[in-house]
Amino acid sequence: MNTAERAAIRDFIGQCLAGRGGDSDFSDDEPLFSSARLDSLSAIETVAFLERAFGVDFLATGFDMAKIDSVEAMLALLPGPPVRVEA
Amino acid sequence: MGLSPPRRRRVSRAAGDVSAATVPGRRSRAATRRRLAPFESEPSVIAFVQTPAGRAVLAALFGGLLYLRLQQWMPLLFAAASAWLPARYRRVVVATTGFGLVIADPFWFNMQIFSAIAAREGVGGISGMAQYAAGLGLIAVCCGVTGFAAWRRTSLPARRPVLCQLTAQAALMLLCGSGWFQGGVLIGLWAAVLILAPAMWFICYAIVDLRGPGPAAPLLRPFWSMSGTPFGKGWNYLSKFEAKTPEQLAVTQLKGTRLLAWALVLDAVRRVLVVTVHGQAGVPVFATVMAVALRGGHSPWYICWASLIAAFAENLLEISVWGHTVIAIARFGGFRLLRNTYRPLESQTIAEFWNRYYFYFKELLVDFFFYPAFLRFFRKSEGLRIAFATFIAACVGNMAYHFTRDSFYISTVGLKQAIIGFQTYAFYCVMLTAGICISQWRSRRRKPGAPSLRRRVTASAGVMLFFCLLHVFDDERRTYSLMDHARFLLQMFGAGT
Repeated sequence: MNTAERAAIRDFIGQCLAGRGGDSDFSDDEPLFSSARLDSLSAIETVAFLERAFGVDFLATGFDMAKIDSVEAMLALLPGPPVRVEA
Repeated sequence: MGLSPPRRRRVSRAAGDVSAATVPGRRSRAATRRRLAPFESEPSVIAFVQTPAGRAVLAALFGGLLYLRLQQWMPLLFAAASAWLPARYRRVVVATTGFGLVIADPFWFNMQIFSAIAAREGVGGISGMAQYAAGLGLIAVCCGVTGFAAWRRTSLPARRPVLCQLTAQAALMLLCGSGWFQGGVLIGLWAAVLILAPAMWFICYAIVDLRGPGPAAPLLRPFWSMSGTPFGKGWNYLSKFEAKTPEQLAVTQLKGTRLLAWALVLDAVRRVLVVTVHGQAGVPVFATVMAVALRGGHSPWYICWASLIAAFAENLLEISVWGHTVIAIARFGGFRLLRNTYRPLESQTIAEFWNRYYFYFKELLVDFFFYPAFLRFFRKSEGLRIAFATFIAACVGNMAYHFTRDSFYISTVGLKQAIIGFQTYAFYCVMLTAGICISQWRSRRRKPGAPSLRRRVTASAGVMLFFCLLHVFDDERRTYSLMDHARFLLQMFGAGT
């Protein structure tokens, strides 16, 4: 369940972590932003990625950093089948 | 989002011993690593500070350090020690001490300005009781607005708290500066401005918290708070950083004590810097150099540069010492908040420096200005979307924050001059926004992977130079015009008169 979406999100987060020169290992329930592994610029990129790839509408649901704080939290936002997966 | 506190992994003592024993060359390195390991990661230390004796020792140590930093160390120590109460009472203590300190220590209320306004309107001898009345007024406003938003969750104040409060502030400031009112009415309007402005962002976080799962309770200036910027935001954010177990509390309090000690070290460095640069080397302070230049005097370019660099360094140290003290008190109170200033000299980009320099102010602007703009506008174009949201946060939000915070200028220089005189800081905000936008654009195009040491050093130096030059315009007063500051900048490069 959610295998493709999970893989796409993990791939994107991995790129974000690698792009900041940090350790790119992470678990699906690991806090990424509240633990400060990723910064605010990554949060913006993550929001844009979730909107673009999965059609998540933060304007409708309301934005809170907790909603994108882990891969599991991001998966819980997905409305349905992925629209288009690209990093 | 935010800054990572030092990421140190505890090295198993057993593993360390094995490697040291089997590889002799590593013995000294392993020993050094153990010596440098922070004491809050030592199991024996953590266990000790959970005992009554350990708590007494830690409280004495923290109290001693706090005594060296702040005059009002005693009530702060007692408030922070509430962390040892059962967790269910801790929030009650944080909330009530916050309300209590608003009344008992009303540093936030500009009594001097209020007395001057009252005297000008023919009401002399405003007693100190006015401060306590202001404190009660602030609590009433905070509870009233938050209560209304909780009651009417779909109302405009609940949905758009920042817009509503900024509008209310602007309306009050216009009325104060209009000249339409006099006497008691004007004093009342000014009281409203001076009470509302310092509480505004706390109320905004309390209203935003109503949308979350946490308790719908206002948090007004928790005991560690020393400014109108909410360190720790509201309850929802704080709860993520609250120590949940006695062991977590012990580690958090040890981290707070270490941070306070570090603040004292940095303060000592700042004092040495001031004595060395301004005393022994005879470099005048930046404000003096600028005042001399703008009165038509002339200072050599190298003196201008030396005083600017010294001012920038002193400012970095001051904000670090102040922020570390606030966060240390919060940590001793059981909330393991991220540092406000975290290694700003390591910043590789302008955006990163802004994130590392004053974290909770940046968070305020991101929460209340950046994300709302980012989610609403230019959703088809990612670059424009980020640039516009950055402009709304770093420029519009930054100006709104400082203009409302310093609304008292309207009483001293008049509404028109207060607005005109804000031009220098407005220019600062525009330049800051431009710098952050370019920095974000470049970051998005940067190749993955860690940069070389030379590139890191060059990037850091560039960032420092940018903020050093920008510091010339980081002037929230209404004393000198934008052209005055620009003339001074030219003088630094040997141009202009």
